[in-house]
Amino acid sequence: MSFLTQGSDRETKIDKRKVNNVPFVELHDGRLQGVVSSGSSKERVYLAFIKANSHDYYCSTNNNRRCGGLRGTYCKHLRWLLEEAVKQFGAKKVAEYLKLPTNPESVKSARNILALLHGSEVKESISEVFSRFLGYLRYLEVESVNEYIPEMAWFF
Amino acid sequence: MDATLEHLSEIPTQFQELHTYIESIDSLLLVGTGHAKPSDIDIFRTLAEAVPSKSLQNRVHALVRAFDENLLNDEAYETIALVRSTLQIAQYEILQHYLTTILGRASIISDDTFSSLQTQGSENGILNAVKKWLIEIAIAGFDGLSADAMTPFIPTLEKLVSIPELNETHAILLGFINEIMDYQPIHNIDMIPQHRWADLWSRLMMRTLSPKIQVDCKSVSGDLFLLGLEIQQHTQFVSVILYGLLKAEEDLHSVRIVRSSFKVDVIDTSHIWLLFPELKPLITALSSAQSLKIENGQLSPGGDLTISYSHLKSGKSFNLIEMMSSCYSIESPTNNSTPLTLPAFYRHPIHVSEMIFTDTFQIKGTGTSHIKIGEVSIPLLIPGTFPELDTKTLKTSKWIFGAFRYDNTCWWFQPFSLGKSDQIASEPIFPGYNFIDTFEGKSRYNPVKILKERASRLLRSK
Ligand SMILES: [Zn+2]
Repeated sequence: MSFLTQGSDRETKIDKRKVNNVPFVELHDGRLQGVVSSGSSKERVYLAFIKANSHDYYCSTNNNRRCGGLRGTYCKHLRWLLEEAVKQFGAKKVAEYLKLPTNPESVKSARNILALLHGSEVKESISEVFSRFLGYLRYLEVESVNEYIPEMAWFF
Repeated sequence: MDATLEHLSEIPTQFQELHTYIESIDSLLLVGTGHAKPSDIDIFRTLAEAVPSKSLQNRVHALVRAFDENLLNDEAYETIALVRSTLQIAQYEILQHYLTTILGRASIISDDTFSSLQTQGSENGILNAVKKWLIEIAIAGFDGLSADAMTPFIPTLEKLVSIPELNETHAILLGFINEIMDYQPIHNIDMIPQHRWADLWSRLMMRTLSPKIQVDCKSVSGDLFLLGLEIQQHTQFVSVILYGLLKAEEDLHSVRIVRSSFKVDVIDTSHIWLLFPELKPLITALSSAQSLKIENGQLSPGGDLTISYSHLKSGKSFNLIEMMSSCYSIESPTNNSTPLTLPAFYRHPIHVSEMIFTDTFQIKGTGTSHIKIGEVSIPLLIPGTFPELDTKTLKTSKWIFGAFRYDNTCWWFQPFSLGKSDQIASEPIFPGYNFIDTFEGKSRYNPVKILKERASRLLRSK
């Protein structure tokens, strides 16, 4: 494998991902987790996760208020999060990460994944998702630089 | 030496010999020093007498002793990176010299060394944390890495974001970590790009020894003629590298202007210019073959030009083809400009490069296309995310400007710009060309703006 031709794979997968409703989604620390915008307030966001293996889930506001949409199943925030995760990482990668009880190759869409999830609501720490999101946003606040960084030649 | 382009692929044997040594070091990093057998370190026994400087020889002897006594300290791991980098500096010099000889150009490789490594006091703590993490990786081996091994390092990464002096180390680190994470879980050891990861590992280790190289720049004013560009990026960082010629008084310099930014994964190639609004006058000048007036720019000995983006004045239209062919024509070996060079600290075969202009070429093949110049066919190196450089466009282009580059096993040609017409008023197409209308603020979807608004609201209210 050429070390000059690495890295384009991820780019194509995130082609259609939009940040308007779901500004942040990641596969981290055994969870698909992220942030979903609130339709009513710009200061409020929903934080949500689905755990790998168990598929247990939770959704709450950044003020720690449980999402009213959690009525024994995955709320709309979790469904949106899943859709954007599939756009960003590809259905196969998400299926693999969540350890769905199926061959990840056969999973083609967020809808496929949702049908295979079998978790229940679990109140678990969610503040980390918010701090991860703030950490993510911090990268956009760093000023652009002029230095030539020769090691960037490894990345295309 | 009577070498011509036909001999390009006949890589000097010294280069291959050095590569064999490097492969042995890479095998050690793959299995990890924690699992190394005595025979895995034979390479260092061999190299102890072969490395050029006495101080490095002493370090290698100390490394071998430390292995034998099972007492590897931080210095031992630094030595692994130093030895590997020293071999690659030699490889760079061999290959760069070979390439310039083949092209009939003057070989200019400054004889500076990187012996004067020094870290700045305030950054020592964090660089030490980076070093410890790199050592953990070397102990575990690339094949023993897991997502869990990355987690303890996250607080260090979070601290790095607020230390501008370490931006460069941070950018490389993010690229490396993201790539390791992308490969998890590692099912098959053969899937690991061990040479690439060993490169990134040792470059990062070198950066912990010396995060920045100081160079003395001189102040320059004159006319800048932009010729093409390349974009280097991973999910969290992007660099735009513009290539051009600076005419300052009677001197013509090959120059490189770089602008880099951190970013997040959802910002892809189509949003590139949204990250760099200040580059608008440069990209406009490039796309319309107009010069720019530079006042009090800073020029490094290697050709890196730093300019003030707020004081740019546009100059006149210029004959792009004439300008490029006078300095970089493959047919005529006269380079009228001072070429770009690289300080020893950074030298590595990946940076072997000579800029090329040609209007007598053919593009062959589909998939990996090749450029045929004379009787020589060289694969084209085109990042997959730039639609403006597709095979169809390349095949119909009248001229092409780019560079020969080298990877593990062969030469590549990387285009920086190309022309649809051979007229004097030929205007170039270049990576990112399809998205230049985003400079006008007309794009309906602007993730940079959306996320920056979020950032300013949430980061301040916290
Ligand atoms: Zn919800």
